[in-house]
Amino acid sequence: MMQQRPRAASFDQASATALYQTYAPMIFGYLRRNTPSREDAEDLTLEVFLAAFERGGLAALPEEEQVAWLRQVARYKLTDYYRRRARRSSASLDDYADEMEADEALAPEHVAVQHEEERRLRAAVQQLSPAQQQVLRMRFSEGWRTAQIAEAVGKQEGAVRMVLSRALNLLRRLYRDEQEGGTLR
Amino acid sequence: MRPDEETFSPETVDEQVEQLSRSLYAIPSRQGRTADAQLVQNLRRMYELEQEDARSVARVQRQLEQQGWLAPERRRASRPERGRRQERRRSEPLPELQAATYRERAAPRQRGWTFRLATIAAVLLVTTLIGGLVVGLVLVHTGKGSLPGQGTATAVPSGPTATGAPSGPTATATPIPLSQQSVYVASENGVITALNASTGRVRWSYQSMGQIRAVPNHYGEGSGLSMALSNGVLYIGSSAGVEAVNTRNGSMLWQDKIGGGQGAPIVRDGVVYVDAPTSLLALRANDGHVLWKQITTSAIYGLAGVSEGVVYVGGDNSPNYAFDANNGKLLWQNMDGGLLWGEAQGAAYYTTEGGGTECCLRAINGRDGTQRWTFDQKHEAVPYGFVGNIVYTSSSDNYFYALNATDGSIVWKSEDVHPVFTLWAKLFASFFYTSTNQGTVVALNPHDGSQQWMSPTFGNASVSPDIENQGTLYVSYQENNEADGAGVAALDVGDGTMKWKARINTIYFPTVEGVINGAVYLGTSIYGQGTVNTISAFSTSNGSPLWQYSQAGLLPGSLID
Repeated sequence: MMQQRPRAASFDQASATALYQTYAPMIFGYLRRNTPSREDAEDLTLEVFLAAFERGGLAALPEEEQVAWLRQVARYKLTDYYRRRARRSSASLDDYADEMEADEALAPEHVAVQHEEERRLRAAVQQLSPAQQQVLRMRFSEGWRTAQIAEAVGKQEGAVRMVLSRALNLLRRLYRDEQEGGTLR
Repeated sequence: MRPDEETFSPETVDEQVEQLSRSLYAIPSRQGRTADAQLVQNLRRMYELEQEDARSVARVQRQLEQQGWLAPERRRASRPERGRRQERRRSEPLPELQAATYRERAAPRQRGWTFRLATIAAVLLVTTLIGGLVVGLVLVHTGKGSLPGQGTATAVPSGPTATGAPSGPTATATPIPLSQQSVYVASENGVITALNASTGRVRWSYQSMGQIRAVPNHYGEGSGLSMALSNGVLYIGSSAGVEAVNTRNGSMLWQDKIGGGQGAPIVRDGVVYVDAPTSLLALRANDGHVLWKQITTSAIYGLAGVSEGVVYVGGDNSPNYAFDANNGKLLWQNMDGGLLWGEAQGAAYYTTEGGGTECCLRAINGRDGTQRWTFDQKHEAVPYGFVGNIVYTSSSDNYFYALNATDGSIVWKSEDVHPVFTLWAKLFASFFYTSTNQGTVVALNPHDGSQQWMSPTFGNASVSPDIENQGTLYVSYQENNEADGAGVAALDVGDGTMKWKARINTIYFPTVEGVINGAVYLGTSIYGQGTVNTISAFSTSNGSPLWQYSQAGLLPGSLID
């Protein structure tokens, strides 16, 4: 059952929804990168937007100020999270020794390398053209072959193959250049 | 075929990608994979994470819809989510999930097993990192000198830039008079490293017998380590016990394998107070002789302070205890839990979150545990400092209050400085500083709460008033766009004007760790697996960079003597 919450001259549902849909990915992404668990990032995202919707007057601000406010509150929430988390209880390492030994993927060196690779790859992908990014996404996110992608975007399969192969070659070069210490332009 | 040696060709790109994908299954470990196979793997992983992020955003949206904040949206059926946890989460009734979320954050003493499980899950991630480094590691104690093969961190000249002042040469080229002082950092695998305060070079390393913990500083500002410095001795609280190390050469003076506690040791009047899992110990600082030991009825979560002959122990969601510092006699215990923020004027100050009937700031008499007073039943309040008989506290109504420590009466209420959430505030000798949601620092007169000045904005970013030293307030800040970095700035305490501002490349919020003899030290302080934390030194005169030390697995926080 939906509950209607009182709000003081702030967002109506439509504007609140628009604000959320536009900026929630950015806020969540920031929180996700800075929290150890997805669930915590979700909770913090919820808190940020609840604070936004409950705050009278925010809706009247220009959009850029609303965004700045959201980012600021996200930082505060994150800081608060770590402050409180640091104060909370810990648990014996022995309790988790089996799990830790069993899961090499959680080894710190592995996680550190993985995070760094993700960051570099994301930066490299962002240098590709929009068309290349779109095809890459369909290939690796949806798992579509080039024929399916061509059908979806209304292009010739050969053209899609060309875009995908060029994207991968470019990505490989960019990716390797940076791995070897080069800079991405 | 060696796919990594060939270009991706238009004719066979599908097949090449699929061949590389298959090779991932054949070679599950990173070792042995080709670079292109790893690229394919990383691309898949990147988009998978994006999808997971989108599902997370949608989950939060559904919760906001349930509460009536957002318009309900028709969605197409989503692909099956992976993992039992996600399935369980998705299938939970949303109102209950929402309620649980806020119970967890708003009422610590009601958390019970829900909170414990959530905490354990969070702690698991952190301890996994520590454990991962420790598993297989032979815990060897070294007497002196560096540890061969321990870590790869090296002090390097940094490349951060300083603005607002002429950039200076690096410290390696321009020595500054920092005498023989050191900056002590610790890594998750229990290695403590002493850095030359002027050059950042490693003086010595010491392998403790257990893992070092990151713990909050007093009143929760920033972060710290489970270590304490006193009279040339570094006292280390590790997962295995307590150790004393000579700061001159890193040699071990004494150790006691009492088991690991949760907090940092506290040294007072030649006595080291340290907590173990279910006990509190007082040891003679000189030789580690146990003066007294007190067993508690339940786990304790760190020392909160020693004041006026009382040792305060406690933590969130657990009983809080008070012991006689002289003999360890239990004076009282408070089974309500709550956060113990500090002690002053013979009282301990606790907070529990939430409004309504939840108490938000309570003063408990140190000797007998009776309640002295309660402040503000409606708002969350966090004490930030104590001077004389005054307790300075923030409140969720966006005002600061000065309270009479004796009876809790309001001495003054500040002007409205509109901090969205008062997470950064510091009380120093002359001013009470806080940050605002506009990315500025505001100085309040501690005598009447009036606003004295407001600093220039820091790009509308978070700022933290951290250290006041010789007429300068050092604040850490983060740019509004995290990719633009963060840094430290020096403000004139008289009028808030900015003397200089120096930047480091980090997406993490930094903390000013300390200021000594012409250098200010800035650390990044983030908890998490494999996080590469750094500590950077800048000249206090103009903000020019001196050195930077970074290391994977470095714990947030440092000690500076």
